[in-house]
Amino acid sequence: MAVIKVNRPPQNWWERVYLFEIARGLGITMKHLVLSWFKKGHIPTHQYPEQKRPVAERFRGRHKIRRLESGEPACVACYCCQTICPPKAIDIMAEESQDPETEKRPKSFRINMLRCIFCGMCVEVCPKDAIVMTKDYELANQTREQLQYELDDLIEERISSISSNPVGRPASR
Amino acid sequence: MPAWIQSVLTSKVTWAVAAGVVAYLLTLVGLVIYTWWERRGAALIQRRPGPNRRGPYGLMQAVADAVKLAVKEDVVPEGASPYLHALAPMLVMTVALTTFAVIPWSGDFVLFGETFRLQVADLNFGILFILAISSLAVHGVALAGWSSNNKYSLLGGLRSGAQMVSYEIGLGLSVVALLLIYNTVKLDEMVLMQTGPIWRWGVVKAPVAFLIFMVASYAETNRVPFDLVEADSEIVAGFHTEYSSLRFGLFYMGEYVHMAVAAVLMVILFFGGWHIPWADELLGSHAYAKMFPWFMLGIAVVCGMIAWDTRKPERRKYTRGNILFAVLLTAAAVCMLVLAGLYWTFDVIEQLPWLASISGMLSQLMVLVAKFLFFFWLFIWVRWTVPRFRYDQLMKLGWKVMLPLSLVNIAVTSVLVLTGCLSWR
Repeated sequence: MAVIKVNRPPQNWWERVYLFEIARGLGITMKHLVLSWFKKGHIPTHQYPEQKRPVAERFRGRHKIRRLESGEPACVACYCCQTICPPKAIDIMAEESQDPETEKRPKSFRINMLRCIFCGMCVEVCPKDAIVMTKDYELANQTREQLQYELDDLIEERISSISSNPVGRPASR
Repeated sequence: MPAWIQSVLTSKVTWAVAAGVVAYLLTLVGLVIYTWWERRGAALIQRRPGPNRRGPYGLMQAVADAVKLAVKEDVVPEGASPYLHALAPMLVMTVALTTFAVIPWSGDFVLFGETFRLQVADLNFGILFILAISSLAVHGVALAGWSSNNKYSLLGGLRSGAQMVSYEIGLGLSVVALLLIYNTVKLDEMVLMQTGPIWRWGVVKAPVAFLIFMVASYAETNRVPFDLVEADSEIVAGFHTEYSSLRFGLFYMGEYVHMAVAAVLMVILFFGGWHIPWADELLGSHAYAKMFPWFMLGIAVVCGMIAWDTRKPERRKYTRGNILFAVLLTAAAVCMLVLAGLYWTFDVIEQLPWLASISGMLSQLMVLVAKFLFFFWLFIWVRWTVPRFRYDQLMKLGWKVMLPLSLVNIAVTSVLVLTGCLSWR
């Protein structure tokens, strides 16, 4: 542990009296107060629930599961996402598919949003591009149960139909 | 006029109660405004909007805070002395409120041949009473730290006790210089000596005493730059760590009441109290009664401007109750206009001398409150400008700068008074 010697510039008499410098500081703060009150754009903050900031092009928000043209979920229940998921948030149960082209389909597809870390590895690993991430980030909810997203909550149309918060009550106001 | 109204108006009790009501409006009711003011001022200085959601302009924020505090659980720590633990916040608050008893809120006014003043208790040792009572606040702080059965609280209490005791000396000695100049300890006489031109004001006669008084009262009220008692950003709250619910609320309110006392004292001792410089010279007799309708007009204009401002889309977007607020303000503005009109049409100063003296008293009160609000704002303004002192710097400033400076100030002032340079006549 070496002693770090800081060379501060010597203060002149004016600065050492301190009161004049305080007066100058008061002037600066008053300038900011007046500008914040009267000048538009001086306050850089966003009024969040009303004003939403644009998210990045590749933002990783909540998941959605895409549909095929036939209307069936695109998921083939291959368990790739469940296997790769680092916090083990995904839980799939498979059943036999009615479609002769595919072997399996998900009987239930559940994502525990309390565990999900939004790493996007499920999206990367999915062989059918069935699971993708949206830009929706307002996921707060009232109970733990409401944050276990089932297949119905994750499927495409449910998401595109306004509600950003499918199970609980709509986010404030 | 009915006899009973006259007997009410000519009772000393009425005006003492009125003065008490003024004190309560300025402290306990005003608290709603002050907390909002502090947070909003802080926010605007830091380029953010601040609390702007609850009520118009966020004015109901303090009410929301108070409800939150009131419904919280009141925790008394294990091993704490329950009675002393409960006594400490009461002591702080009581002491702070008691000092308002001797504050004169207006000059003498004459009603039906009798003289009154808007003051709760006309003690003939006014300023000494304030100094004596306000120095008791340190007991509340030290007691809170000690009775909490928490070593950090105890250290916090001792730290703030040491700070308050150190700065009490500077505060007292700066007042001594004033006593030499004014030759009285009664607050109302001190204000009377500041009548007339602006160079009669205490701040012109004793600028050094004013500086010492201001710095010492910032330290006494535990405000930035001397808020190492609380030091929000570094240590946990100091002496009131173990307080929750309304008991914490009492400490919080006590701080604002202390600030109010300090601000009123600065106005009364140094800034001419309820006087406007040259008022009597320019307006002749009944100067303040003549000002009254003009003040009403000014208030009406301000109310109208605020009511007009609530129409802005961003106000309507973020807050509720704007329409009610605007209607109330407009009603107030109209009432003020009507009042001013009636005042002029009926020539109150000639026709109704009793109403003239009451309105003169009210306009003196308004002048005093306006000055008071400026010094209150100075507390807030300084808080968001000046960084906090280190503890050794605080002690060095208190004992090595303020104490010698105030002693030299007393010596110089007494020489000037004796040679007649500062004669108040």
